[in-house]
Amino acid sequence: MFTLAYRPFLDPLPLQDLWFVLLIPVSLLVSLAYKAVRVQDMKQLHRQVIAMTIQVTLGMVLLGALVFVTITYLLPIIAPKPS
Amino acid sequence: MPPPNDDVGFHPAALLAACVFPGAGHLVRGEKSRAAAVCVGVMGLFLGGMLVGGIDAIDSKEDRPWFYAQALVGPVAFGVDWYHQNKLKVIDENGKLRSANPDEGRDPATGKAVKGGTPPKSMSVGRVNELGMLMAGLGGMVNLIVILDAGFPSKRTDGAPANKKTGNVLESVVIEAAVNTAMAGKGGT
Repeated sequence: MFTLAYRPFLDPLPLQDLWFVLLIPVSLLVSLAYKAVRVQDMKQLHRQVIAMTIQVTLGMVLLGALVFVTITYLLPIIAPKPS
Repeated sequence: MPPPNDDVGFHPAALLAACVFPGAGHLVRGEKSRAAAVCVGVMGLFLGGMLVGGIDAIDSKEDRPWFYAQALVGPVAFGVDWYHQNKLKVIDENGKLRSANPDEGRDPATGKAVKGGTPPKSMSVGRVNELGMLMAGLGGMVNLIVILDAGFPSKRTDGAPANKKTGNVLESVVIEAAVNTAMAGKGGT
């Protein structure tokens, strides 16, 4: 909770509950920098950046879902708690 | 599609420029739009990390392993870290640098902690701190790829499968050879 006025770059953003939204800008910026050195024709940059951003975002969501299912449902079956 | 980049080999000036600032290496090689995209991507990650986690996300003393990745952004990262250590942290009773507590300020003349003032910066904790450090660190790691590409450029493949491109080249060579042969045969008879 902020008791003082927010100072950009000096104080952290209040995103404790919305941290997962940052996946999209992170994916976008990584894709932009990576594809900037990969594409042959810079006219194709925006298209390839959008495609890679979607791939990375969906990939991370799927990995998160896979880990959730493994820990919540599969792990108790594989290694049940000793009673 | 334009032909593959033939400007390959070692470019020491571009390598040096790329180490100084993200995108400067490609600018030296005359690739302005590529340099701008690289600069926006890398600096966006670095400054985005600072925005999310505050300047506390760039700390060579308290988060050294993360700073190893962030340092790859170049002198900008070292400058931000220097400012953080020397202008925003306070000196405690033992003469050691630390972040000011919420109820402390910083004496600008001595750098010592003063009770009752406003802290020069807030410490970030939890997810925002992790994500801030991660974003800035990712900027550094991506910049390493950019530095290598600026200093040691190679033919760009555009991410297309190699066999497909090779197939296209082979196909065009075979067609050209066939046409030439046919034309030679026609001219000879």
